[in-house]
Amino acid sequence: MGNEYISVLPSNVSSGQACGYSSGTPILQFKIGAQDAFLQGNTVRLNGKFTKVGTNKNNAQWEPSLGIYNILEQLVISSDKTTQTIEHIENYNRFLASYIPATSSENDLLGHMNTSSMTSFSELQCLQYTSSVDFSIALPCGVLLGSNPIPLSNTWGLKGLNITLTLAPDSNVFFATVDGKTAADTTYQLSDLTLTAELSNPAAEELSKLNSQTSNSFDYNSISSHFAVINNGYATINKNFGIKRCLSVFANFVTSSNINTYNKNGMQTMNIRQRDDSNADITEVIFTRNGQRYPLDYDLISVQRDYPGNTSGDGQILRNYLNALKPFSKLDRTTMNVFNATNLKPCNKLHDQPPNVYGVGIAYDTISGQGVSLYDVPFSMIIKSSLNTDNPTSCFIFAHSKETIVMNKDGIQVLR
Amino acid sequence: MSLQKPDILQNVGEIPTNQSTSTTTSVLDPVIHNETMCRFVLENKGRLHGNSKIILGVKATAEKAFFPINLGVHALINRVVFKVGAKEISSISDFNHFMAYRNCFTPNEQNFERMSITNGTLVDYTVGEADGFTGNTFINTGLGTDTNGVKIQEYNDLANTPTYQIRLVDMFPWLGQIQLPLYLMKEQCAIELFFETGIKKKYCIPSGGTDPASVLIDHENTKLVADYIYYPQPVMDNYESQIRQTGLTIPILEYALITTSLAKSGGNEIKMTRNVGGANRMVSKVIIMNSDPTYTNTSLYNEFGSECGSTFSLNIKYNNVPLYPQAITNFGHAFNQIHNAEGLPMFVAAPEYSKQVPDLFATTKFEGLALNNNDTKSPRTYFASKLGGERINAAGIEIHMSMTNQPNDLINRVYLEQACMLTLKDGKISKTYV
Repeated sequence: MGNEYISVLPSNVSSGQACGYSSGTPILQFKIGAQDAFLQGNTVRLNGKFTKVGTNKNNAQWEPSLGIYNILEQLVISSDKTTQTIEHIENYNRFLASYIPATSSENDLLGHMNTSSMTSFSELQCLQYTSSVDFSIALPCGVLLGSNPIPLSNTWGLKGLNITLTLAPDSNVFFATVDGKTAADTTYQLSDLTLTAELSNPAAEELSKLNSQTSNSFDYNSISSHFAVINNGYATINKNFGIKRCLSVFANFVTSSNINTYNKNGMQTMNIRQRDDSNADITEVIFTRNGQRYPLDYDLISVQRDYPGNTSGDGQILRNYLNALKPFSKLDRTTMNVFNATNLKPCNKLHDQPPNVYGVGIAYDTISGQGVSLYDVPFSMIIKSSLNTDNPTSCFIFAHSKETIVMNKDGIQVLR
Repeated sequence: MSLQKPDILQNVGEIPTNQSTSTTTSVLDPVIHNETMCRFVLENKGRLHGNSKIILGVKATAEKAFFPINLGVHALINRVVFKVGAKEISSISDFNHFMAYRNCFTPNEQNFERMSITNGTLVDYTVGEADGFTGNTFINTGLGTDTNGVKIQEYNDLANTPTYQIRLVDMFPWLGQIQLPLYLMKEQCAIELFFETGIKKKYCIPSGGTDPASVLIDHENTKLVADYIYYPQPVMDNYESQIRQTGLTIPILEYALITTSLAKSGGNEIKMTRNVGGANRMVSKVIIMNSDPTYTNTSLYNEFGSECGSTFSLNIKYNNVPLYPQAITNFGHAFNQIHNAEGLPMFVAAPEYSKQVPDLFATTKFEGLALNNNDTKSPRTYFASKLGGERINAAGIEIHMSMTNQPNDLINRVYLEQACMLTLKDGKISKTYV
């Protein structure tokens, strides 16, 4: 099997054209044509140049742990020929706001991701990006992070891939925390965009074997996104995910009024806040499936239920959150520490406090990888907190599941 | 309560276990040692473990000095050779430059917690607000700052005659894949280290400091701590009889170095189209580095780094086809190609890889030395590419590279990772290219 590199230009942007949310190109589309080859998903990279534009650009910061990922609002992967959706992650940047800090360390953010993805560990560093910067980022998602090479063939594959990225509004990317300064009117532009990847070409013998198959199947992981609002101390979130092999569910929070404004960081993953931006402690979390507590038979009770003055993050809640993002036993790198998961403060001043890492979640299956069915039974998450003021909090919920695609020469079918 | 075995376990027999593996350690003195080279001769017993260590120390005068912080004690060694009999079966030239690249893959927390003590590598990025760091990146040594900025630990000061260690697997990466069966070899196995001859390349000094009157290798402390592994005698005998009949083939990867000078044009531009060889070989990876010889021991990395101006273009051509459909001109993309080639990311901050965001580094210095030479350098702009897995044809590998705004001439080093085969037959070892 020989390998080759490919480089794909966006199909909806002219060569040399700068694009961005406010430049009139909020969608980027890349097509990888059908061919008798396998795509190595973990080698897919979006490359380009990032430039801040506007009179206040030198004040504009972004969520440091996300870097360039701040600008990606949705990711859709579909079959190029049949246009069937294989994976669709809405609120992609919110998903990554959980995933990246939970699975990367300080040295990842300041080292290799700093170079390729513009991440950092301090909001102040974002001020230093005053000129154009090259970036080259992986697109973390179930399909591309899987270990199985992705068949692209017209007969035994997905019939090509369409990767579509929706860009985030400028006002949900940039904000200013330096006292008295504003980031208003700051926009971003992307240029020299390419999507690069590595393909594996099967040897002649293997290719003939693949061509003789009448059908083929491809297993992959998928992330689906859901949304809810919390505005009281006893929030019950019910969802019908419609997925048969759910591996985990996790959620992160941000005060709704912080979203899409140049004044606040809309990508923070803090805990629930009171109207005055003080902590509204989560006191209990209960996960149910079909009305019964599952997979935990008990309530996750935080230390703040009995000791409201305690400023520690709750180990049980945070451990389950991390375990939902990556099996806890395999989690060898994380940004979560005693400073950014406990005694949370809004990031509105100069400080060296690392980005906040907070959320709730539950893993259903970290051993067999087969998951549990949430197909025709509702999922519920009950969050009790000390929230007693009117401060709507957005809750971004992500379900991690295993899915299968069956394909033959006539088409593909996604089995959720 | 019954203590009987459950039914499911009734038919489970004894699980064979191997509990008699043993390890012995020999501390070997060099058979030859001078300021140019040293040679260790291994005992032909057991199987050599790749994590065996060579201990090296320095004797320096009282002036403050430290090894280049990205390299540590590896700065002392220019070339490493593994010999069996009179045959050289593995070697790496410009080993200190090679290790400057390899050390980029060590997570910084390991540098802080372990490597700063074991081999003197000190790069550990962090951010801080205090001491003038203003939220930007600096290198943490665990000590505070003084007027010269971040300070090194006492044990990293060469004036305190530190002793460090280097793993054999760093010098001969294939030892990580196999425990070399020395007990089956009839020829003498030797490891030779050739030391760096440029005096000022061995160390760095703080800003305003003076060069030590001498920095010498401490001959008394130079040792090879060799770990030999033994299996139960029947296993060793059985293995020996198998090898006597069929021989043993050991696949290894060799790093062949090709060096040349790159002269800048009047417009500070460098263009290079070079054939670096590799004809008829299985080359799996190409590593490219361009060191700037004008760096001195008042640069934190001395000259052990890689520069490439402010913009660049890179493509590699072999078997009559370019490796990349479009030449790489994006620093992030080039950086990710290294990840792709090595399977690991480089723990290198953006200002060290490109000049695009120099101010991410705090203005606070490290022993008075700016982290990236006052924002004028990007001293760790390495390149590496994984090739497609085919044999290279007779035309060899061509590198097409250009860079702009490169103020100094450079020395270009290209390492080709090529597959070789060691064959052990009748106690004698031979090497062939695959």
